[in-house]
Amino acid sequence: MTCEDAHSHMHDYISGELSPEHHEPLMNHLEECGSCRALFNQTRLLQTAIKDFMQYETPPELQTAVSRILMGV
Amino acid sequence: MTSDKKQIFEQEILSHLDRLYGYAMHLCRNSDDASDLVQDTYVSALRYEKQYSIGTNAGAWLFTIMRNTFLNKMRSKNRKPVGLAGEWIEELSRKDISELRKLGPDPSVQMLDDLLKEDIREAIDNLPKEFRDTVVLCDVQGFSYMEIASILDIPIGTVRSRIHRGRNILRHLLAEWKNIAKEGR
Repeated sequence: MTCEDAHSHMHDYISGELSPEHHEPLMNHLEECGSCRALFNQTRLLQTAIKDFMQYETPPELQTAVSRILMGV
Repeated sequence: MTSDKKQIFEQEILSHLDRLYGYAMHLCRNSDDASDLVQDTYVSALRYEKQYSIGTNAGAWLFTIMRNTFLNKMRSKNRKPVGLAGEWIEELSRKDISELRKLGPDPSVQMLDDLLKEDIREAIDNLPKEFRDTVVLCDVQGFSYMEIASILDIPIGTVRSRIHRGRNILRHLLAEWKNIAKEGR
């Protein structure tokens, strides 16, 4: 696997979209290539940060308003 | 729809409230407009409930309604979505990954260890809209590429490409800010 292939596959892996047949070649490449491994770790860390930091708490008044809409009030 | 089915339908769509509010905040950037958008989305969902089959993907269906409702609101107000990126980000977005690497050593390798919530949110706000939408739907909302393709009405290959490039732009953007902060110390 080339570094370019690894870059493409690592995003799909992080998204949970990589085909099973590409898993092992990707992992083997990441074990051998320090540069791609660093990029992979950073991208995975970035995805976790995005997921954690982009959450918003629903205001209680909105929950009430939506419940009223569903009840047809 | 029978009363049992109606109750199941309502429970199912209500279970997506938190995700919908998160997406509405991403689209509107303020809690008042986001709350209005969520309520409009539920009103539309009730109006179109016959189009929905119980047990199918309620999340993707509701997100599609929300996005269309938002776009219609923007059109009616004759406003463009906010947060379009600066020219250099647009320039970056047109480059392939290999071209990005030609810009020099990847500065992102040393970053991300002390990122702040505000940095992440601001970086996402600064992404070009087409990249922002796909990254948020994938990384924040957890939709599959196929679901995102359905919500945004674009080919799955475009979804994949935008997610890859969007994340790469984010890494470079955050690294750039971190370097500026370091130089300013």
